[in-house]
Amino acid sequence: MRYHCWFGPQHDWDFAERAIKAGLDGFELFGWLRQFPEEEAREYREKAKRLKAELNAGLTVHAPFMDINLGSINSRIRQVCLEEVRDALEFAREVGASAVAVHTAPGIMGMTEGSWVREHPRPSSGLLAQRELAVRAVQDLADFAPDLLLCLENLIYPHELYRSPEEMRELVRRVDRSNVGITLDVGHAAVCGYNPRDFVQLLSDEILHVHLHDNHGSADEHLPPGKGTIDYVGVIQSLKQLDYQGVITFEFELENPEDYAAYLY
Amino acid sequence: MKYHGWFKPQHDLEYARRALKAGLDGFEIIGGQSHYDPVEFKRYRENIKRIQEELPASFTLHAPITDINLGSINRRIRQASIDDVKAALEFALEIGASAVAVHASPGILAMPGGRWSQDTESPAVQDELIHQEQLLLEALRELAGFAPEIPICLENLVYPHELYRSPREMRELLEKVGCPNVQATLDVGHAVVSGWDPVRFVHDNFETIRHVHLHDNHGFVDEHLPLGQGTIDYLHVIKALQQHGYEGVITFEFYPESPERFADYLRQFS
Repeated sequence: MRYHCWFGPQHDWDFAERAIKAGLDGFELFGWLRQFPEEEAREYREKAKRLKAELNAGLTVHAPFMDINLGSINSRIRQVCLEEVRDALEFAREVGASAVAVHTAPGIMGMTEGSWVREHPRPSSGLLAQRELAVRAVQDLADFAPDLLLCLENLIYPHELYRSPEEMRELVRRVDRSNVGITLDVGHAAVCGYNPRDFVQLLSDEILHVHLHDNHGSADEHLPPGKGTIDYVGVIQSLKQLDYQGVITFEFELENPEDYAAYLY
Repeated sequence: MKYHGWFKPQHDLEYARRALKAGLDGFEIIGGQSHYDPVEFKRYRENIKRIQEELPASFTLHAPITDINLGSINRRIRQASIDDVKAALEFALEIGASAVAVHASPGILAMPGGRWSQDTESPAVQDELIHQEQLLLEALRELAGFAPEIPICLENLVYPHELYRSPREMRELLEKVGCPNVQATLDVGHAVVSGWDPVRFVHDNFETIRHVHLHDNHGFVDEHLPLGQGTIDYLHVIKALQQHGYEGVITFEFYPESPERFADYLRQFS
């Protein structure tokens, strides 16, 4: 198992050096460069490229997720979403990242098609169309970047799709690409009422990436492990038992990179 | 008060004729070009054009809603959302629609920005929310300037992950936008699902309401049922609107069993 922490535009080189010295194996980068002012994005790209060369750091990238719906039934929005994630894949390639975390289809469609609608007897044609479009979009992205692992993340809130272990398995099976697997987000699993260990059991072959953070079971707080109520040690143990070889990204922020050392298991 | 019903791509001219004969004054058009297959959309426009030429109907238009977030903090998504709504406003101008219903900012940002994140203390999330609202206000002002002759009527939304659901949130939003042609659509069904009494909505917000969406549900899911098939006391809503002298359009946002059924609802209201 290897451990990464966030490295965003707000972090400086000193932070990166200290984090590696503290025992981390690498970093998870923000794949939404277009959201930053141009100058900031340029600097971030340059710094990110040095991480591997100079610190021998492993890298993962988080694709943009805010308002992204890869299965949107609005063709204009879907197109933009695909471009956004494609940009993140190119960035991942440029910096030499191994895996990219992707949120498939949360969202606004979620507005009408989340659990509220599932309480409704018939799934709408929009929902069925979105499911198809999402699968196709992920296939396109996987074929666009056969050299990268695309890791679809289990999502969180009742209006989102793809939250349960079963839904995630179904999605990955339907996508059916060897470079597509799952990012197990431990915090998300807990917020939507699943035991993260059930994910590990059911999806042991599909989990290629892990996001680790804590919460109190109702909001996606992204707290350091131990500050919430998640049995994170149990999750780590399950992963170890299954000989998980991928990256665990600490998705919580600590001011001093040295403090991440306390969370290495 | 005028009454409109949906006219969607699956409807034909015969349906329009029968609906008007049953007493409707016109139709609400669904203006989401990016949702349609181009061939389907072309046929849809041709049908609407024929209604314009051959039948005595007025129009309102519903801007695209699915996955649209006018305040998205993702620049490209925000731009695509604005472009999509602009296309709808152009369509509204073309058909002479008297009002355009717009959903301000539902959505995914809504994911961290809705009730859940309001529960969290995270300053980062609060910053994002404020940022999104600023972007939304800019987007709405841009749209208002793009089509100053059309009332852009922001709709009260539905679910807990969405912003702008209560009468107060709606009033405050419109005050902040501060454009005379940005007003409100009262969606009666949404008000009920999100826990607000639509009659209160009418009394508290009447001066901003330029458009109304009427449909029924059982109080939990936005079912868009024909009136009477859910539990909403819609007659009281109509009465409240009548009391205030409402002169805008009420759109029936449901599929009736047959267009002739519209006559029954209209009889109840008179």
